[in-house]
Amino acid sequence: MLFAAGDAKYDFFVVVSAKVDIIGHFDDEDEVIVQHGPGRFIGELNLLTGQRAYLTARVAEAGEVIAIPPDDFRRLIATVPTLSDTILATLVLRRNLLLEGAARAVRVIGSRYSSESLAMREFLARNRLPHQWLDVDTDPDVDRLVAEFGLAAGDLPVVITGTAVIRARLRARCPPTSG
Amino acid sequence: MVDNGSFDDLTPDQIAELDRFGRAKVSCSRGRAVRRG
Repeated sequence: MLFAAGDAKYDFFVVVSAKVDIIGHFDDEDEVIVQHGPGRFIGELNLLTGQRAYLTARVAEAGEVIAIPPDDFRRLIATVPTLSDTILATLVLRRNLLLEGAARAVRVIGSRYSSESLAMREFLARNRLPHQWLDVDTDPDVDRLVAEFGLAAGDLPVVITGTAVIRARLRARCPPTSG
Repeated sequence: MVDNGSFDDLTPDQIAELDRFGRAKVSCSRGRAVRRG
């Protein structure tokens, strides 16, 4: 495991000879979103924003990677434009792909008529965090998820990540764990 | 699986440059990673 969903920070990895799966944990199952091999790098925009990892990087085939700690990675981005241009463009493109491909990593359940639901959705959208909106009034998956996580109607709205259930009533806004 | 295309492929020169910033080379196997550098 190079890093796991929920980790507060992680290294930037360059794959030299290994194969690494990027995995989302959806509905109690691991799903491989993409596999990176030699010549690719492992990382997402949260390396720069400070948001927590919401996906897991797991080694699929043994090999070698270069590990660059977060502080050194930020220094690299600031001082080596030939690399930062490529890396930043890729991080933005990856986030765009993940907005759909990894939306289930963060789920918001609530009513469209709730101001707290609206605030949660606005926070996630403003920070371009992949997420899926489940309307308690119309979405057929809501009952199953509410039962699965032992939630009551009064708990909603909630944000469900791979590692936590965050109730809006306990927090004024989504904490960094939502990233 | 998300189709990443090849937009994130690094050249050997870029990998060598990145290696200068790496504090460790890591030998990784399924389930664990061991720092060597």
